[in-house]
Amino acid sequence: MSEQFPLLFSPLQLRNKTIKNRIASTAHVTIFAENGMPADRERRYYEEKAKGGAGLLICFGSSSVHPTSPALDWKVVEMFDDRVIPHLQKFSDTMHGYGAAVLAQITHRGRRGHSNLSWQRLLGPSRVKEPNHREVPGVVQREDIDMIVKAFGQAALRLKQGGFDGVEISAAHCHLIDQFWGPHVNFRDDEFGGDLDNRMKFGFMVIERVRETVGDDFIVGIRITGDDFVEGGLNNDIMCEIAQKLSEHGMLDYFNVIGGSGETLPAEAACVPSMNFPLACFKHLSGRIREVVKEPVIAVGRINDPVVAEKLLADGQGDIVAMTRALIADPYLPLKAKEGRLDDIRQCMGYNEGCIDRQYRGIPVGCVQNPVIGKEVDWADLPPATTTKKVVVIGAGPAGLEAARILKTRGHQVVLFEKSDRFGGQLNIAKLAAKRGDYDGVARWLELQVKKLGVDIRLNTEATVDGILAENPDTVVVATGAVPLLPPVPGLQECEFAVSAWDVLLGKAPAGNRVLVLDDQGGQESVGAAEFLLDEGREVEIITPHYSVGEDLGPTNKPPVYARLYAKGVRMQSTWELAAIESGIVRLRNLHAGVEIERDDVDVLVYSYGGQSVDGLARELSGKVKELHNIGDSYAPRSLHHSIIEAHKYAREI
Amino acid sequence: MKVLHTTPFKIAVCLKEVLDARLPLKVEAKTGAIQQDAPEPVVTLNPADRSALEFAMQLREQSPGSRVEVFSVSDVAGQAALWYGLARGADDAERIEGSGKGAPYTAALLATRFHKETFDLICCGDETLDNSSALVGPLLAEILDLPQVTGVVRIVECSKSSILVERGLERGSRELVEMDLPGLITLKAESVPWRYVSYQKLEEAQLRNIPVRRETLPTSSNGLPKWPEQATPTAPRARVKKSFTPDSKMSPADRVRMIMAGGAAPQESKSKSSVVEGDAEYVSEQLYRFLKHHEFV
Amino acid sequence: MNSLPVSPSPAPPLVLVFAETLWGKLERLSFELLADARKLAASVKGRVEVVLFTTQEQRASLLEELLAHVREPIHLVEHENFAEYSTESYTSGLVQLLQVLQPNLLFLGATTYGRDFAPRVAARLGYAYFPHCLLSKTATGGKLDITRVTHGGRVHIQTNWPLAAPAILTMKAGVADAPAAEKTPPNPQVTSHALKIAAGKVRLKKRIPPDPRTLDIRQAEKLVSGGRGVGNKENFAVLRALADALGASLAASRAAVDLGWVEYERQVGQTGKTVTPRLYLAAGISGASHHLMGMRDAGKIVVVNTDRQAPIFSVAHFGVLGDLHAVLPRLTERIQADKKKATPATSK
Ligand SMILES: Cc1cc2nc3c(=O)[nH]c(=O)nc-3n(C[C@H](O)[C@H](O)[C@H](O)COP(=O)(O)OP(=O)(O)OC[C@H]3O[C@@H](n4cnc5c(N)ncnc54)[C@H](O)[C@@H]3O)c2cc1C
Ligand SMILES: Cc1cc2nc3c(=O)[nH]c(=O)nc-3n(C[C@H](O)[C@H](O)[C@H](O)COP(=O)(O)OP(=O)(O)OC[C@H]3O[C@@H](n4cnc5c(N)ncnc54)[C@H](O)[C@@H]3O)c2cc1C
Ligand SMILES: Cc1cc2nc3c(=O)[nH]c(=O)nc-3n(C[C@H](O)[C@H](O)[C@H](O)COP(=O)(O)O)c2cc1C
Repeated sequence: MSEQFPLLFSPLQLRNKTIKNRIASTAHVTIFAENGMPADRERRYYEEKAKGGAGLLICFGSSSVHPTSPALDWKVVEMFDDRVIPHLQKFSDTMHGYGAAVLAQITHRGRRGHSNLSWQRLLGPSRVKEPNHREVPGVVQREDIDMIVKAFGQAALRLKQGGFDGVEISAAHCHLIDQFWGPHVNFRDDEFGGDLDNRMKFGFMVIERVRETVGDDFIVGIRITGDDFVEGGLNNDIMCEIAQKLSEHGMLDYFNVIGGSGETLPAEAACVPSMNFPLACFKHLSGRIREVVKEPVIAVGRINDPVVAEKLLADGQGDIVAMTRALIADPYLPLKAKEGRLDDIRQCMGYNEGCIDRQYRGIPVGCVQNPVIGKEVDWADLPPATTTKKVVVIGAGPAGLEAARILKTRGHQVVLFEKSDRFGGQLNIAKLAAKRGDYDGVARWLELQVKKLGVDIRLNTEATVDGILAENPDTVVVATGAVPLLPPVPGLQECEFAVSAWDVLLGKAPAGNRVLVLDDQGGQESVGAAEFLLDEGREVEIITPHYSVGEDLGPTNKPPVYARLYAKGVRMQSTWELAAIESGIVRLRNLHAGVEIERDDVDVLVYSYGGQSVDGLARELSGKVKELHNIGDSYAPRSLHHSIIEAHKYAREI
Repeated sequence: MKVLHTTPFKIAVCLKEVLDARLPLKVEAKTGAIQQDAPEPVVTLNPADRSALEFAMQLREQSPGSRVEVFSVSDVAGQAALWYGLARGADDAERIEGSGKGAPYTAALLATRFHKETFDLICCGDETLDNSSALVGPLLAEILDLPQVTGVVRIVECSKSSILVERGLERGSRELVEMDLPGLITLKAESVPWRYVSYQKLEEAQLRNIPVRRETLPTSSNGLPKWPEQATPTAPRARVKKSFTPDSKMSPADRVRMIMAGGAAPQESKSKSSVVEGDAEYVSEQLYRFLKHHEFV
Repeated sequence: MNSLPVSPSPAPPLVLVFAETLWGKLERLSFELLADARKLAASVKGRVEVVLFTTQEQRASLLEELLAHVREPIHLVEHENFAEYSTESYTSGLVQLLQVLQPNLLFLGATTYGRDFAPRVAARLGYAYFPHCLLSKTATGGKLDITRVTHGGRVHIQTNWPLAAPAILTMKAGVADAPAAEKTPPNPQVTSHALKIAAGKVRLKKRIPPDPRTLDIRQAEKLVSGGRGVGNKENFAVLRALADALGASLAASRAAVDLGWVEYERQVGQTGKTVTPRLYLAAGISGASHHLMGMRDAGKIVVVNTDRQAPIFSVAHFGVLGDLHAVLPRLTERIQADKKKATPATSK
């Protein structure tokens, strides 16, 4: 019994439907839709969540009610087309088979987007551009309003016809409804602008039309922000007022409360709070809204653990908890929590690199920890090996661990060598940067799993060719990772005050106050090292050959990192590369103009060029063993996500 | 438990069959019906009553000639509690039916029975799993003008004229108190480890005919607290616990910063000034003084 | 006499709060009730007054503590029988006082004592009785919206009750956030009531304070907490010894719990328990945000850590940069030596 989580596993009535527990997956764009239709890939992705025991599935992020919603960038579900109904039916039948309640989010993004994909004109309440996308919209006319309101009703009706239990109207992330609400967006002088009641009119028309169209036996919820973090925007006080009015209006069945908005870069980053934010970081927002509405409230924001979720419910900060990314990392979280197998939950680290930061770039969603995500059609089942082999895996970084886990699960005999005294490889360094303490979560989970599975683990044992051959393996998987790359910049090798970003995090930076960080890698290394040194009280400047420091950091990671670096006094310059170091003088070259400058004010030079493969063993073993695979960073230094996927792929096929 | 004197005791135990509220429950929004998330309602002997029953049985075992009688105010369905009492070894059982609903009526109906016959000790559960009012015990004692000890977690000693018990207080504190008999105690759930009752015993008990006593209460509810007739069950809605909320007047950047810091701006200055270092002897002495100064030692 | 007294314009509703004491100390819960009562009174234009039962010896100290928080009139009943709790003395005292004060509502804690005697008071006076309530808000038409918690918290029962009919409500801790201490001590009116207080048939024999070793860490006044820095399971003996000397309970970080050094019940933090002891001594704990969220509101935070950069120092009231294995045993010895001095040797 779920003694530990009485609230989390208590049912809740939403209109005519009983939801079996308080765990929700909230709407998220997956980029799995095919021609705007939720096909098998999408269905199988959600099926895992339904199977895993989530009570409430709010599917399809931001699906369009009308072609004028600028959503081709995210390849969303097109709810404006009757073609969608059979897909919906198949989808809802699947989810209902597991007892999950199934809803979908519908929206019109208004001016949040670009018109250059669909060549449909952008619409907004006023001629004010969104700071993020920067395209000036046309002004919504009365006819447009009628058209869009009708489209909302029709979209909701299609969901009902497709067997869904309800619909969620999005009035969050600064889509069209909350664009009308916003005093910073809506400057109309007609009945849809001016005071709050006027600004809310369009939203009410949508809600009324949806309710009218779907009738009484259908859940209609709304998603709103609790504080949009935008200057002059919809702060918590205004949102409480709006929520109260919506509740008094009496047509909605729940409030789903996020933090942030799509308007500005920092506000957008807050919408899907990364590991820079604490757990359950917006519970105060859902709590405040819950005080003014009578309907159930969904609390959202980095709730990745059933204990945290249970506490939040007990503290009245929500009636349902969104565990959206938590369910991406582990769709079986609800079942595991119910059975008390908390250790087995693969916990979302909140890194976002595999999910939202891909989605914002238009790439299908995955998970840096869970290789199956997005590949359920092929990978949801893990068939046992047909012939049992003895496999030696070298390196207990993420790649080696995942390989060992899968190989052992499939029935192979597995020996795992690790030369250091711990699991996790580079993650042990990566997690030393500020606010990255959770980054080794993937290794912690994998470590526990391989131990439980009974993999033969040899810590503090450097694998050698002889040592490996002595094991008499059928197959060898090399996952020896990488070391920092020292680029061939003249003078760098001999430079006494130069240090790699990795070594900085390990506390090995030489003394000296004035620090120059060279960010070539474009990811977390350089900014992490920079912040580490700023925290020691040093002066830090970062230069990069790219257009910005931390060029490859995703849109949910860059703003919090920038916020801290600038608050701590960093200086940053883009489009400069390291040319040479000569007798203590650092020469920098502008990538575009080719001009060089000399710097004699550098006490410590930190370089970040990423990794260099440790592939000696892989080369030496070639031809000496029956089957050999080189995976992860030792194949080519890339990312955690690469390592996990690659490990999984090969381990599945051995 | 120690039993002094061997004079037999006469003990009454009040029992109630309740819906097992430890399982997930749901409140039907329209009707207010309280239902379990199960095809058949799962009922159980109220856990605190089980402690009361178990204690009474143990007292009887240690004091030959004692009698234990079990009572329940309930309709026919509720007699399962009495069967259980009999199966556990109670000498007699009686079911009481009457008008009115709610804890005060239960107490008043039980009192009609105890007015007719004096027991040395009446044992009740501290609280029911369903109504959770903790009212029946104290009201019964009030009507019968008996002394009471509620929230008993342990029984230490029992004699013909008095009983020595521990009652549980807030935050793990307890109190040892002595009460003159006759009197009433209420026991907390799981305060007395209970013994297994075999299915065979239970089947035997179910064959016994349990007498029913029908009582009508005087219409004036003098001597009883007023109890609301109209009450609507709803799904629980927890009170919103205050948590840190940045002021809407602060800039968006500051609001986000404070949220990221978990609600508190890091207090650099405070920390820098109050860290001591040095040899272990010195720092432990400083630490000791700090604790002493704040009266922790 | 058959002419009814002409009632002046109805007096504003009176909400009484019973300030409960446990072994001579005020219960914090009473202040939560006070906050709730204030909110309610404000919504019905009523007034709040506070009741305190005490003895002559305790009167001064209790009153001082009460006055730090209370600006409303206080009714004081002083009697030697209040040296310990007894159902009968409390019941008789409160019944008489209520007959004098004629309140509309009385708030009591749903504590062992409150639940013990309040039903008997309600019965004697024919008041309505609502056990185990949540925050009460007024509804329209002078009716009170009362929410009772039943079925182990899984059901809430809503009742409408006319404010005109007197009622007693008992409430669990956590109904409201206690008001902060008054900045300038208010000087409310204190009325003493001389009443005859019955003695009961139940006598207190012994007070048994909780054993810090088995106490739920959420209820502990003092915690000694260890993390990965303690090194291994055996080393926790050092922390236990200190905890015993301090009369504190043992707690731990998740790292220590995950390693199996300490049981999960003692884990502090977001996935453990949230604690607010008066003293939190953290040794070998780095202070990850997940941990800080669970103990930040402790009264005084003391840190022993070898790493000056450890984030836990940012919340410390007193920090020691040093090895816990060297510092803590010395501290334990120091406390024990002190105790020996304090208790003069009896055996000769
Ligand atoms: C500071 C920093 C920040 C990073 N940030 C990110 C990020 O934000 N996003 C991202 O995707 N990636 C990031 N990475 C990279 C990421 O950590 C790596 O891509 C990933 O760890 C590679 O996994 P792996 O298992 O292939 O190799 P590794 O993690 O390098 O593990 C290799 C393991 O093999 C062991 N080993 C080597 N040789 C032998 C031998 N002969 N015998 C036995 N054992 C051996 C090593 O000790 C090590 O434990 C970061 C890395 C660093 C250092
Ligand atoms: C979703 C999630 C939820 C979590 N929930 C919790 C939670 O509820 N509670 C919790 O505590 N953690 C929680 N964590 C884990 C948390 O992130 C940290 O990993 C954990 O708190 C670290 O424990 P620690 O401080 O004991 O260990 P470490 O971080 O390893 O710190 C050990 C400290 O001991 C110091 N030290 C070492 N030797 C000595 C010595 N001889 N003398 C003095 N000091 C010494 C070191 O300097 C270091 O600061 C959670 C993590 C996640 C991802
Ligand atoms: C890949 C991805 C896409 C998302 N797309 C949407 C969306 O289209 N509409 C929406 O309302 N929220 C969207 N979200 C936000 C989530 O619904 C949720 O609010 C957010 O992930 C925070 O909850 P969590 O911490 O439980 O993951 C998206 C989140 C992710 C990870």
